[in-house]
Amino acid sequence: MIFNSLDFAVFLPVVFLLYWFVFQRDLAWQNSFVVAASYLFYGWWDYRFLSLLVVSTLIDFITSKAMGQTTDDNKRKRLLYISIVSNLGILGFFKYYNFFIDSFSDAFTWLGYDFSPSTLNIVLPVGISFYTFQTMSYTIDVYRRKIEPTHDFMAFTAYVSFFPQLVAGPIERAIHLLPQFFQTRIFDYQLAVIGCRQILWGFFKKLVIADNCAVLADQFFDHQSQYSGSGLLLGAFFFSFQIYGDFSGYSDIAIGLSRLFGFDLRKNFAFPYFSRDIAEFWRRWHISLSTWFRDYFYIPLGGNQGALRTKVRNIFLVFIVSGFWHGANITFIIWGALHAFLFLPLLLTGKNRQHLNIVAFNKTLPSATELLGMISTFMAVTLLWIFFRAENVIVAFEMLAKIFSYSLFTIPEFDKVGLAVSTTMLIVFFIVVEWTGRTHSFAIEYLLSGKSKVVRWSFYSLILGMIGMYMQTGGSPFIYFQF
Amino acid sequence: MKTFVLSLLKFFLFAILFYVVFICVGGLILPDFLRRNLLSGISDTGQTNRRLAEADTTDMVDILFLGTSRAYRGFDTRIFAKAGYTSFNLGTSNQSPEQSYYLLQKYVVKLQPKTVIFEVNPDIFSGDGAESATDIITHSKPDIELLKMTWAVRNIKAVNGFIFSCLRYIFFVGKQDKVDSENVSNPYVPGGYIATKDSMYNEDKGNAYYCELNDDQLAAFDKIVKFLHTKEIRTLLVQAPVVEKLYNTCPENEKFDKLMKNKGIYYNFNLSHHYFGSEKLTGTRFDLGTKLTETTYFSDGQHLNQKGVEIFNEWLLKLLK
Repeated sequence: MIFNSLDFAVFLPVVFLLYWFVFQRDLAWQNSFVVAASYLFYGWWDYRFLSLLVVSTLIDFITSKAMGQTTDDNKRKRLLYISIVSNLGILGFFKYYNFFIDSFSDAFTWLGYDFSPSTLNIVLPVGISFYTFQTMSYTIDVYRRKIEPTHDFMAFTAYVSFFPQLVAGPIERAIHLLPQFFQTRIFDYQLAVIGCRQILWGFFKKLVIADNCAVLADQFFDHQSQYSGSGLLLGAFFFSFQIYGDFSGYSDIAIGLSRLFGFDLRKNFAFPYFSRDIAEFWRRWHISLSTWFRDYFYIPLGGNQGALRTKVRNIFLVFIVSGFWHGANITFIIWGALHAFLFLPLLLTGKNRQHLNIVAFNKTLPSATELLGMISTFMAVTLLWIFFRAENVIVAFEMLAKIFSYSLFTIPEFDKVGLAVSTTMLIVFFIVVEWTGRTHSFAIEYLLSGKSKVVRWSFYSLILGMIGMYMQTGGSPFIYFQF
Repeated sequence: MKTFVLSLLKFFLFAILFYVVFICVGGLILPDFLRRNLLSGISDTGQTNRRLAEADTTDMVDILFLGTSRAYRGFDTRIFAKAGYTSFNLGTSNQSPEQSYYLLQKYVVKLQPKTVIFEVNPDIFSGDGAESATDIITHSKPDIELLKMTWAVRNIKAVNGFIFSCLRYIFFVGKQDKVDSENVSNPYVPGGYIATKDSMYNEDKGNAYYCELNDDQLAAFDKIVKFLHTKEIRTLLVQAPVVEKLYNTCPENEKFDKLMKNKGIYYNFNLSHHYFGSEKLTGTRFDLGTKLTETTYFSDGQHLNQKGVEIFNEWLLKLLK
């Protein structure tokens, strides 16, 4: 089931009313209901893959519980390895099997050997990378004795499968989300109202910004040979807004939904396109994944401690692995590596933490330096998105070669000019609202909060109106479902 | 909790009201590219509004035409009138069998046609019919049947179309005709036909058939055939001429011809060899006797110009006799 579907429009109010009116009296029943609703939500897409969710849940529950019952460090380590190998094994098989087989085959062919193993027609279970990382964080934290293993299987299952964030995050740490399943949830009017606002803004991002940009970006990326450098750059811009609108839109809907059910999820995006350098961008983009890699991969490797060589190695490793997390394609690896190239100079000169505050705080407009920083960061990120979106590396390099040619200075010629103009106008509206609300957790959290109810409701209705007038009618899934 | 639910309900009521006003104002003042999910504002290039309004006041015809723009721009009711047939053209933009069935049910009792000429092509069986439904919804007089159709389509364009249709009938009845009559290059001819005055050929590069026959549309088509058979109405299935390049984009032409031939009397006016020089009727592939060259007989890839329509309709009349 996807958020932007009629099925979900029926599912949500039914689950919401049952959750608060029928199951609120008993916490165990309420958690069981969350599990049932979440499994229905996930199984709606393909019920067969529920088994993977069950296996992943069981492995981490059992291994962590066993860890809690022993003080033997070697045994605890073995249990941790069992969990990690099992989780990564499932993830690796479903997500990376064909990639490795193809890569081996290509390598042997290059060396002059005939090696043609058969690949499998594997369907990637939606959200597998997200819930795998979420459950792994629990086991690792239990191993590190940051949290006690839980004995409440239903609460743990609800934590792993919680439907708002199950298929595309935010990747929640057990230390933050799991305890919320042990507490009685009390309906909070203000929290629910803010949740509704966040859901509305998330839908606007997805249905209006991302889906319209997707049509335009697809046009350029799918037929890149037909377009000039200026056209391809335009395509890359549209993809920048597509991926931001799509993924941060999903996160907003997920966080907003959780608030309706009395849960608090972590922020996943913090206006990343207003970042003044690439380090700030990575503190603001897909925060739950970045911090996951920081805490469970980068820091255990040594982080930014040690010799220069170690620092460089660690940065490259974390960016490359995080790129590879997105998909089994060399394009993601190169995308990650190129981000490491941009990040490294800041780290080595100690400037990676110079922009920790909110840009132009308490000011209406940014300074010239801030504006320059934002534009250059956005440009760099946009150009690197080409690797993320392109069909393969050769296409990505061809696109970049065209962008950095004289054809960049020609007027782009393409179909759907009307759509491009109206989408650009919507993007301008979007940027203005995001800029205005950048000091909050999402753009319209407290926008117009001092105004009368009629003004606020008119604004929210205007957003609904824009969704109705400008959404794409084909219905498209979220990009990050494929990861 | 109750306060929240009540507040939410109040907001939804407010938002619905706001939305209706937004769509109506948007339909009236926004240019085409800025009202993307409102198929048509007060202007209506396919003139469906005028056609359906006329159908409401028309009784008893010999021939009823159904189909897409190739029908309303391909069957000239004046030519049929000269030959002694009264006729009405109920073609609408991209009309799919589901919408043809809806229109047929709505108008067959009133129009009581002896013959239905149904313009068919692989494209109309390939889509979900949302666009054609929206066209009809936007330009019809709103009633409960139209509301049911809007619900069945489940498309925001259809919902917006229904809202705008209500507005049109409350505030703009009569004014529509004035707008349409100004459309001089494609004037509306009483009886539902739209003439193409401009003789210039406009090559539309992007057009291609999708040609993936949709089961729902095939089922609706079967219902039409059965319905007409039950009413004992003579039915001709006609594939109107299009330019060769467009016709050949569909790899399923042979399959489609066979399918249509199995459904009834079927003529395909798109020949793989345009000019046979004979008048032999084959039943499926039909020779017009004249090569319909793109630049002389077509206004664009899909539509004949007036010269082409005259040749095409003369041959249809021969078939009717």
